Amino acid sequence: MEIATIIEESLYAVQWPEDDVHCLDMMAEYFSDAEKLNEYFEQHSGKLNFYTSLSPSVEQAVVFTRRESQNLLDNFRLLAHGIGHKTTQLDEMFLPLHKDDAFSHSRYATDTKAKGSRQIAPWIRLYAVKCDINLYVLTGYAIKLVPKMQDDPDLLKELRKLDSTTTYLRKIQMISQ
Amino acid sequence: MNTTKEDKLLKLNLIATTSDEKASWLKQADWNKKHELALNDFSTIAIRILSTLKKRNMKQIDLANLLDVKPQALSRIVKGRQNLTLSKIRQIEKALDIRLITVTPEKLHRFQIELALDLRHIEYTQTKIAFEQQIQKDIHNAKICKESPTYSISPAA
Repeated sequence: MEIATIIEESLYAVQWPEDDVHCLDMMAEYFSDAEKLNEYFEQHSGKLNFYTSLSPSVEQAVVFTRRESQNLLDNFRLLAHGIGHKTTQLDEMFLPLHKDDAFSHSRYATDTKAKGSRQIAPWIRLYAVKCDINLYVLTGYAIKLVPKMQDDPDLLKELRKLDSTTTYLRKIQMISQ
Repeated sequence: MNTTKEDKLLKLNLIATTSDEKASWLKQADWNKKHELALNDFSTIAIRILSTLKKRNMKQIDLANLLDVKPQALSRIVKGRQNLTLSKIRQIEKALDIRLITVTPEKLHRFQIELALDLRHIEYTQTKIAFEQQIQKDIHNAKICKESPTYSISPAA
């Protein structure tokens, strides 16, 4: 596992051994590719019914996802260009992942998720381990079209990534035991 | 013992890699921002092209050949990552015999409405004149035949 600097002193990203680039580059590449998104939503069109208030077509889902991804990347873009409020913004973007389990979950304080916006395509997720106030290490990204992460193999993989990143960061004392 | 944030940052700075080149995600984010207003259109056009190719059992290389562009250039278009010119859109429309964008200038639109209203007025006037002429003709005939025909007028289409 390698860690890349995204925004100095606040945001970092994991590069997994099987990948050529870190996970934020992968996310930016994937979510801005209408062809790949089209393929994904054609394969999982049934899952789009999960959001009954939207019930988008495949074409709409691609447009929404891309727009959502742009919002998410734009927050980081502003921070990277020194336009945003570096000291507060990341803690506002990343929310606890295990809200339902609360403190009973061993990684309640560290596993987090970010969304671009909650209206356009509420299915985009970016996962990160929180190391400190406004200090995060990104582990991966996904499209969540199921009630629970355990219901989707891709999301289970993201949970495992969070787990192994946490183990590594604990080992080097980046997060407390 | 709890590690302070400063200690954590020191550790991260030791282990984390940095690149002198502009990061790929940042390039993409900047591009998205630059083309923000057309981003939805790029995606929609890409999906329309892909679905047309699929319906017609065509490959991307077939369209690239029809457009006389390199496969890489077409790939950027179907990924929604190409700032398309109107000219290129029209070329794609012609090659696939589909309509991707319709431009309706406001003045022409108003003109069309006014023209349609004028045509209806002319039609109405002509019908009215024809109707009156028919009445006169029938009155004239009635004087001869002493019959009284019934009349009706259809509303203009």
